[in-house]
Amino acid sequence: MSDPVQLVWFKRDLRVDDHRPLSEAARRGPVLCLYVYEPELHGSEELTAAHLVFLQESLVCLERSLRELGGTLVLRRGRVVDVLHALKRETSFVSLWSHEETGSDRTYRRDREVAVWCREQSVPWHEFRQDGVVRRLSSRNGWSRHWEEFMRQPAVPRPSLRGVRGLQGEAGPLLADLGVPPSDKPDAQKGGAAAASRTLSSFLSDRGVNYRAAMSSPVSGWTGCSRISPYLAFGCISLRTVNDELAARRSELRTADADGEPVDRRWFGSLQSFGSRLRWHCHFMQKLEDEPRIEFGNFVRAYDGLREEFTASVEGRRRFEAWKEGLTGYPMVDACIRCVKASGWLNFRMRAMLASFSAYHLWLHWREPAVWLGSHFLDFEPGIHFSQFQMQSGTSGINTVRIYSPAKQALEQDPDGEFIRRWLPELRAVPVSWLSRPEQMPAELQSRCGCLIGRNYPAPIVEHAAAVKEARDRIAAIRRRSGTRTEAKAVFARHGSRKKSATHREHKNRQPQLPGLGEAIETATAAERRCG
Amino acid sequence: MRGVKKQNLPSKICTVCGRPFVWRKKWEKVWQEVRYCSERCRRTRPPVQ
Repeated sequence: MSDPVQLVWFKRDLRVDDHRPLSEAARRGPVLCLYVYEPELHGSEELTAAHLVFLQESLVCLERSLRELGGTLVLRRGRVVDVLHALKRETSFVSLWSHEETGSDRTYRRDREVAVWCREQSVPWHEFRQDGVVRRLSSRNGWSRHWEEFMRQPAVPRPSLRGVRGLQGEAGPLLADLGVPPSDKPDAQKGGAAAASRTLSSFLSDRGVNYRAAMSSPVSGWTGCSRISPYLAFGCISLRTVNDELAARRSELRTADADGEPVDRRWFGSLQSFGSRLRWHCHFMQKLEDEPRIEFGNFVRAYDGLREEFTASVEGRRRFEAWKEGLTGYPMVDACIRCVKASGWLNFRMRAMLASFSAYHLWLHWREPAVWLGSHFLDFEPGIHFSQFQMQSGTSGINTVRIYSPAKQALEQDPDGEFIRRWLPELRAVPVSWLSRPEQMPAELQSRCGCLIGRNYPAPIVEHAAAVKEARDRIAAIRRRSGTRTEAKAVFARHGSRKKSATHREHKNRQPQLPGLGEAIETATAAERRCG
Repeated sequence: MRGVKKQNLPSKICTVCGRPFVWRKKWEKVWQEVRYCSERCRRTRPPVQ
């Protein structure tokens, strides 16, 4: 009689390295590796064609690696519980193995269904942590120690596998024909574990030298940022592996420096900044893990009702459409929108600007813009995304209100107009001094450079100064109420970062605290640096 | 051999009017930073927000 089958369910962990469920299952017997294409998830508004292409590329890579290890990947389509039920009949698998997932509500509900099914069938489901996010966390105090502890454990080596053969849905032949539509993003990154490690290694050996300075601009950020995010989101590489590679590179640089070899000093600060962001990644996901409702509702409920009515109005609808089309009349905003639609990527600062613009300038509730923009981020990570969108909209309660000026961002982050001209062909002939605010061009210049405002490119959809002032006042009115402050304190206790950065202390010494918020206020700089 | 033929002088595009303009002797030390073709363009550049 042969050993009972172990079922490994691949989710957002499409790799064989540092994959504990896979290696634990492999120690116990023959392993059946499963990926489920779920119409309710893969066909939803969360994912665009580019995600499916990236997924397919990642699965092709995973399938090859599993085959090399002696295993097989089976690909099935349907609801996960139905797939499990069928596979139970076909293989009588005895245990289910997977990583814990901190995903959107769709995946959370699906996981609860799976848990129910496992209980009914008496199939044990072994779930493992895959990053710094802690399930059933009792308190945020000391959270960073959990992170450190997890990262200190050695990465799990790839196991050798005894596969289960002869099942319908073996992925090899199927993968070529997943029915994936052509990508909507010609400039998107390519999926797979191999691409992930190439991307990381080129960043750590070469591209990352100027990371700290390069990350703020969408021009230098294109190559100066790590670009590892979609691989983390799909699990093509584990956060621990990224952290290990980073540590190895830092020690290599330190040794070289100590030996008197010439080392570009910028590496040290850049790699430190990158390391912080690996922590922030999990810090933000932890918020969704602890409070799944923040995908839909404000952290601080005192802000409920602030923007809903306007967002639903005719003018609100018009603004939302203009924002999505990249036709707001603010070139930096419009260029960013078009960049993300074509590539699935933007640097953090520009993402924050898009969120801030929709929330403050356009006065839109964050929920719809967040869902839409998330579907265009190839690296969409719900925990980071929704926490960030709320933070940039002023509904998190624990962060300073930060309103970006798109014109200022254009001048500072795109001084030569390279980014704006690349994504807004209608502005290509506009002299660079006017690119941040083309509506101010004299009529004669507009016609001479073939860009008539209102015809070839829209006038600004709202007036910057007035819109910002009004938004600030309305937020402040709610923020001042004592009920808001009480709630904000509770949000801080549950979700806030316990780390006081150097800039935070500086800030505290200079300025009096808002009464009642105390520790809850992060400095603008610290808040802004989150999640590069 | 002194100087450069006039047609071989470096030029730039004015960031305000978008027209090309040519190097002048008075800019020889600051040519890198020169952005506007004329005093008029310098004065009519849009205000920084």
